[in-house]
Amino acid sequence: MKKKLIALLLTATLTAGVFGGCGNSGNDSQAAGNEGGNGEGEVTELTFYNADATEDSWADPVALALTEATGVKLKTDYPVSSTDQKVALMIAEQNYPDMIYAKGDAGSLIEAGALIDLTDLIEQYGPNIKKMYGEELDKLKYSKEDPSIYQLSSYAMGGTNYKNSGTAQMQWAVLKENDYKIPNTTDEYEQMIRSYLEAHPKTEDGLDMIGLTLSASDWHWMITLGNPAGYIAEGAPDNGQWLVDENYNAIYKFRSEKVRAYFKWLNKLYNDGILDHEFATQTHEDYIAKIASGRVLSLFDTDWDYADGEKILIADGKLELTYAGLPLTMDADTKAPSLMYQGLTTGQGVGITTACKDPVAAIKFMDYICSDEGQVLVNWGIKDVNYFMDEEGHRYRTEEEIAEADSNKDYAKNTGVGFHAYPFPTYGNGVLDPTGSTYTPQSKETVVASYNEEQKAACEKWGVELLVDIFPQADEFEVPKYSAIWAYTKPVEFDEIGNQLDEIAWSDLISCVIGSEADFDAGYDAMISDLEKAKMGTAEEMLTEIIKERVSLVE
Amino acid sequence: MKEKIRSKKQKFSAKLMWKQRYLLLMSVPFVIWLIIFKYIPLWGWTMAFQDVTPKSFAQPIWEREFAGFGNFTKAFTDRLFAQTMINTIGTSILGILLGTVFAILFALMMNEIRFNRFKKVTQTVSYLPHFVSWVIIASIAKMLLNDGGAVDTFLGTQLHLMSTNSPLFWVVVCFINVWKEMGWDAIIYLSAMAGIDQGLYEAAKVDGANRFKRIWHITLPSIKPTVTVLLIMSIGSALNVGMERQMLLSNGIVQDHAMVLSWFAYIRGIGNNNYGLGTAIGVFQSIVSIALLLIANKIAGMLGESKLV
Repeated sequence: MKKKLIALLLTATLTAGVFGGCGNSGNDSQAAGNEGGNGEGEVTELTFYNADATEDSWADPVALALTEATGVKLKTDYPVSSTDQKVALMIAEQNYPDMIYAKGDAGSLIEAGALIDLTDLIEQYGPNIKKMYGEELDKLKYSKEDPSIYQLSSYAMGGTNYKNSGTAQMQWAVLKENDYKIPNTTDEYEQMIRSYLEAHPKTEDGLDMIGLTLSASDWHWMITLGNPAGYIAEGAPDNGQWLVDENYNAIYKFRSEKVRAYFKWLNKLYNDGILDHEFATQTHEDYIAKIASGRVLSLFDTDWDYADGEKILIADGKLELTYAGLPLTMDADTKAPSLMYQGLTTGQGVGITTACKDPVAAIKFMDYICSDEGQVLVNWGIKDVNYFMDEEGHRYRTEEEIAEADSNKDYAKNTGVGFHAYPFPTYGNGVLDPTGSTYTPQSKETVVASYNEEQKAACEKWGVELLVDIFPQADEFEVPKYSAIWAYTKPVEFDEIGNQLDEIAWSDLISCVIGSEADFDAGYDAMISDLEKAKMGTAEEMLTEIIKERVSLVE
Repeated sequence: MKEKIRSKKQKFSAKLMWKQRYLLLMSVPFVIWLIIFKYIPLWGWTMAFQDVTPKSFAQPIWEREFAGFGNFTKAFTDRLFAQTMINTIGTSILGILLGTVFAILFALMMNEIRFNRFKKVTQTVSYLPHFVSWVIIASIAKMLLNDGGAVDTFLGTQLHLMSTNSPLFWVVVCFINVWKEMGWDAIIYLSAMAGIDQGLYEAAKVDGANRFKRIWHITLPSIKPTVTVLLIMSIGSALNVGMERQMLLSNGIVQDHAMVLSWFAYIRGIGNNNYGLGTAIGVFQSIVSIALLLIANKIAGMLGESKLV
């Protein structure tokens, strides 16, 4: 009997294997057919390193359509972890892919002479790239001494923020208990959490409620501990670890008095048991798991960072435990900078390397993505499959398609919709193409339509159309003449100091927050003096100079 | 007879070489291998005396700018260097001590077990963690030891094992290492113990020695040469504290006490794209390792133990 069973199992596996094999080869031949169909000769396969990619077999319909239109097929490579220094190793081995999106490591690539100047290529083969960037094309130039364009920008060009998670996030449940009051100061914010904690010390499952938690055991510390400090305390936009004043003088963020006061407040929250006692050592996975359990009342984070936890809450139907983005600042005079448009983010984007087999094909490929047709293809997908046209000639997606896109985490990967947009250039949300439709599927109407009950209720209560209407609006801020600093390619000498400053700040800030209130000032002073020893002043001067140079490039 | 051999050994002549020509010939491939793979790459050490950044990396060695001992000064004056040295030496000495003591204790216990099947099962189970990658060990350890982890919950207190920026982290790391490697390290001691003449135990038994006395007077002295050799070898690699272990177990707070030399070379060299600096740290590490090895060997010789080299 047993033997029979095993035999049966074996047969089953074998059969499955054979069928599986057939299925695969079937796909392959289909793909080959499609490639052959373009009729313009050979398909150029370009290798592409993408620092933010996941596995991409270039087999989805959008990828095949891109190949058909441009004759280029990408073979994507990606890092195994965020700390594997893959780009540094490429330089050490002098072994580059054809195209590269190095993200923060672009500076060393440029210094190694690994990227080619795109200026002439864009002039000759890139009309759509020029059209997309318009006047901001100059911002892509590397420096005053070397005005080459080494990479395009991987961030959105123009557009409106219809969705924003603000500077702080609070569960709808807490807001409801406080009658949808929008906290103006950190004291009010604290009070709201405090009163909720007193009323509900435990969850339904008997777990302790957590007032606030952060993720600080790896680079996420910059997102949940570093960035909010600048937004909330200074009302400063995201410039990485730096604050820039109106005269373009840069200072290291944690030196500011207001930021210090913010950390003192966190220290108090920690000692009062509102800030999670486990935050210092928990991994990012622990953090997400806590959010998913619905125990965490508030966060200082950004939507893409906590989305994984929130998705689980939505799937479980616990909508009131999901988060509302709030324009929290330390005092009523500071304006939350969340909606501010910082101009085109430059310094991180796709470049072409010296090792590229066919730079013309590569630039043509990117130019196609920048064209109206290409933008629609990468953002909306295939016509009559992923989107349709209404009578007025505007693009729309069916409700099933939207639901599928929101709930199926493999949607982008399987259909290719949105999968090949980032890190290539793209228009921002709300920008209209010549036909009057938006380049991206997200528009005011679709955002409003996508709100869940909690969000709708809040809009009604607040008397606004969009949730972001409670924020200081983009037109209240001036667009700075320099693009966001965090994305700059900075010289090696600067990074050497900057990395050390971050090392010190990372461990000392956490130690200050989890120390006793009496030790806070001594600890913070010690950190500042360590930072000074690590040449904070030199780095500030260097950065100030870089910013002034960038400003002069645009002027 | 003995005299004859010794005199032969001392006299190095063409005649002797001719006599041993086949032996010498057989060793030639290995010597060549050694030169190609172990000595020629040392040419790369020139990078330690040059400014090597991405800009100059592609240039041939002779065209790069020489920096003299600049890279070394830079490494030694780095704000992390002193702390890194203390961590490296602290972690490795503690690791060697704890590792040896626990492995010997464990081997002794295994040696005393008479129930053979239990002994075999225990031994197999004990060395399995050796084959598990540090990634997995580290996540298990973090689950147990983090703030609010299993240990904290069980004891009902906050021990802050992983969130105290002090040498406590060395102890934590070393104990995790003991847990991972104890069974594996014990194998070599066990085999040394298996080689002890059983007649000695019989005689001691007749003389009325109990188990502890037998362990103390027979087993331990008999494995002493093994212990010495292993200690010398481990002192030679005292500075080579594994980087992945430290990286995986550390977090923002304990970073200062987790940094070891190899990791330091990696983040300052590869991480900051300053390959010359990274190489300089590596060169320093090798030189100190050789010095340590020679010193340990000398001390072992003075103590009347067998020398390794």
